[in-house]
Amino acid sequence: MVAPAKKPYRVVGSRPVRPDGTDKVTGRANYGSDIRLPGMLYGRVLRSPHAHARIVGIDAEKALALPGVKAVITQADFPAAEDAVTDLGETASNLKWLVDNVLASDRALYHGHAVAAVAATDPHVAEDALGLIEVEYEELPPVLSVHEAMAEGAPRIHPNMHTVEMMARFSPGPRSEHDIPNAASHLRLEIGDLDEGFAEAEVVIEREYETGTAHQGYIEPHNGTALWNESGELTVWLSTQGPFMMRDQLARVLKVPVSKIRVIPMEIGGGFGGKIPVYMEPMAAVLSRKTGRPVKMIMQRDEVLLGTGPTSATYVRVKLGAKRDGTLTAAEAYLAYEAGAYPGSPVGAGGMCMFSPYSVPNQRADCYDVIVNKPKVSAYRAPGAPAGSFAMESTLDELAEQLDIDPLELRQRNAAVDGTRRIDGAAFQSIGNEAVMRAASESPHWNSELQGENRGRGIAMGYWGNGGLESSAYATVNRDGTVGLVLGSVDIGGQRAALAMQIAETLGIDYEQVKPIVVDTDSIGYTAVTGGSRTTFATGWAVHEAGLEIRRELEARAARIWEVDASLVHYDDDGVIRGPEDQSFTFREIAGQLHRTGGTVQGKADVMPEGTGPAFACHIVDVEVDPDTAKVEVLRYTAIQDVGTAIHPDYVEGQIQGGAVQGIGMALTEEYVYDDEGRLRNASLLDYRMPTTLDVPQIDTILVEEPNPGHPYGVRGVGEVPIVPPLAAVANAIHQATGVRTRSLPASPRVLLEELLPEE
Amino acid sequence: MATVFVPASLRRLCGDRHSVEVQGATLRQVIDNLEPECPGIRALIVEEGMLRPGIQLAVNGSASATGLLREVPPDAEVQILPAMSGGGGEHPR
Repeated sequence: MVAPAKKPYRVVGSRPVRPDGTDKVTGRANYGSDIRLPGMLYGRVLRSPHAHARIVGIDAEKALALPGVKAVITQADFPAAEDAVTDLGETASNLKWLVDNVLASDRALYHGHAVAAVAATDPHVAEDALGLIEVEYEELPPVLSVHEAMAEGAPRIHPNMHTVEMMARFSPGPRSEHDIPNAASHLRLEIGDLDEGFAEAEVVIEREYETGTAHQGYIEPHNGTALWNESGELTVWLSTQGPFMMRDQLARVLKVPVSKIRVIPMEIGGGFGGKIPVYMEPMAAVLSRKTGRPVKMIMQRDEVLLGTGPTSATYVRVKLGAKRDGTLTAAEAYLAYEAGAYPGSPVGAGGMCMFSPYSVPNQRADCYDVIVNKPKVSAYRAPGAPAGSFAMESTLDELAEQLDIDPLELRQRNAAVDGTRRIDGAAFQSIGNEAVMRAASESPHWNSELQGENRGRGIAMGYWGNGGLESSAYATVNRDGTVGLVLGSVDIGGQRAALAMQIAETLGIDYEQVKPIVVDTDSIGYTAVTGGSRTTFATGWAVHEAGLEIRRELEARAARIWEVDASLVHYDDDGVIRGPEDQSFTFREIAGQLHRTGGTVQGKADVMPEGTGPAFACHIVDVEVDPDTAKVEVLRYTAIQDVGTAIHPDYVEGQIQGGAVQGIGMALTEEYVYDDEGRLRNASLLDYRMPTTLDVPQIDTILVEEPNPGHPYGVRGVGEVPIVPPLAAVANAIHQATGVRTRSLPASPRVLLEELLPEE
Repeated sequence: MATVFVPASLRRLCGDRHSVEVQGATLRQVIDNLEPECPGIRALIVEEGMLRPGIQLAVNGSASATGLLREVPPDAEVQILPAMSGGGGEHPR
């Protein structure tokens, strides 16, 4: 279902076939695993079997003696890393920690932590060589939860680390007066007067919640092939969301100028934030430099789960104060998010987002970034927001029940509107929050009757701020009237199509006339990651600007041909260039004359747009809970979202459906299971249970289109916010079905049965 | 005059004020003029003439795309924000 767009467009809002679709469904698209180079070696990684251990020594002599083995490396083969913060988007990393996470130095800090790597002529030889590398460990006690980690007297994973007060997202300020074991940082967000807000309240409710560790679950494993040639130039073919950010990290880790590194992004089989940090790519580079040959490395599935960054397991406590009419007067939260082995959880975003759909004059969130002996977390779709919203939206549901107010009505009474201040002090401008709630209240799903035993309906809101950042685009007019569009944004979710559509709209030509291509870091200007719900917004702006430059150039060219002043020539939105005396050129006509009237016409743009439009979503879900097994079946699901202008509604709907399903997975089935020694026991997709198409119904979508005034086509980011509401929506539905408040996710049958059958 | 909203963690530098009004046509000037009001705050925001990594400044709720060079209109609000970029990358300094 799509609400009518505010402005009629020719191409924007249509649903053309994606340019990369045929190659992808026929297997012709080139992924990192398809790379084959002459003399290529195969790399494999030796990983720690312990969650926490001192590395006493590494002896690679036997491995190096194995025929076919060409090199073994440890962190000693890397340049020494200094202490300096590297910004990775929603997470950050000190350079030394980044290098230590690539390959452990003196200690292994989680099960699966890389300790050595080998390159051999055959992947099986490389695998065999791993078993010949002798590592002497001295086991240390693992710390496996925020509760263990922050307890008084807990072992400190980084002995010299002390809690610092954060000034903003991850910019450290002074050392905290309250040093908490393994709490790397504390960030307080606050507006208003919390004491005053609770004093005004007639009802106060306080609850605690926890969520498990969930992985992004991209189907394509991490891969990278590196060739460090004799001239000292490094070329890397890989799967990444951000070729330029990967280049920056490689430059910092390897201490090589960016001009010496060329990153070639291959097609990418999913990322969701997880394919931003470096993992084995620097190892492949160092192995290549050591052997003088290209080295290819591909993670196995268990390595993806063991050795890359999932999202944080969390503990959140929420306290709400309200009047009896439901008016919220105060909201307070304490959030402790697992960072994994090194600082940098998205806890700040968790505190930032959870109250944002609501107008609450007095708010405070205390956010703690906590070190545990688990993999260093990475960004995962609206990083940090789902857990915070699970806590807020569940508590709000309970408040509605206490006050005997319809849960959607309670949310509407407190809805954030234009001018409402968020917890960081900024005031919202041009948001579609109320429109989303209204669309939910009018939706067929919300107005249908839920029938049957053991069934319940839940609802929850979600918020995400979306990103801008830098993007480049080049466009060339070809003689046949087509346009070559050169992009630095990797195509994860239909970006080629969405960007081609925007420049087609700007030029007034057909979508099919645009030929988009994604290129490497030597072939386009700096372009930030495909992530942060920024690409259709920011790179879309860049292609629009490139299109405008082409329009200006073609006006000048037409003026030259007609021998009139350029001010008399106009490029109209229908793609026709009109001049005096009813003279005109279609786009194809003038493209055919370029080569003999001055040569090729190109447009180029590099933008760093402000004006990102925040996103709001409301999800409604019906579930049935089996009273004997506690298995939760999702019966019906509707996702309502303010998407700004839906450039390609199919892909917008696809983003929403994908995000909702990932959120359902976090709510019901997905979690890392560790034993008491901190070993991950379910490092396979058989045991780490992501929902499949058999587990979820059709996710119905309602696109609310409130165009973002900060973008030429009204684009808001759409990709992240749909993962935010499902956790609470599902938990609220389970409560209605069973009477049980689920405060720990995932609500697996094992956990839920304990609640449903306490006497047994 | 611009109104600078002070994050909770920095309010001790500003006499526990939640916001401070200062002059400034650019964010650099605003931060410079904030320093006498909140001694020590500039060193926590600016490093080697640029925004420190991870700090993001916003003008009227919109994150600055040009770091400290961003123009500040009269009567604007300036915030020091915990940015949310979803893995979006490094912000202008």
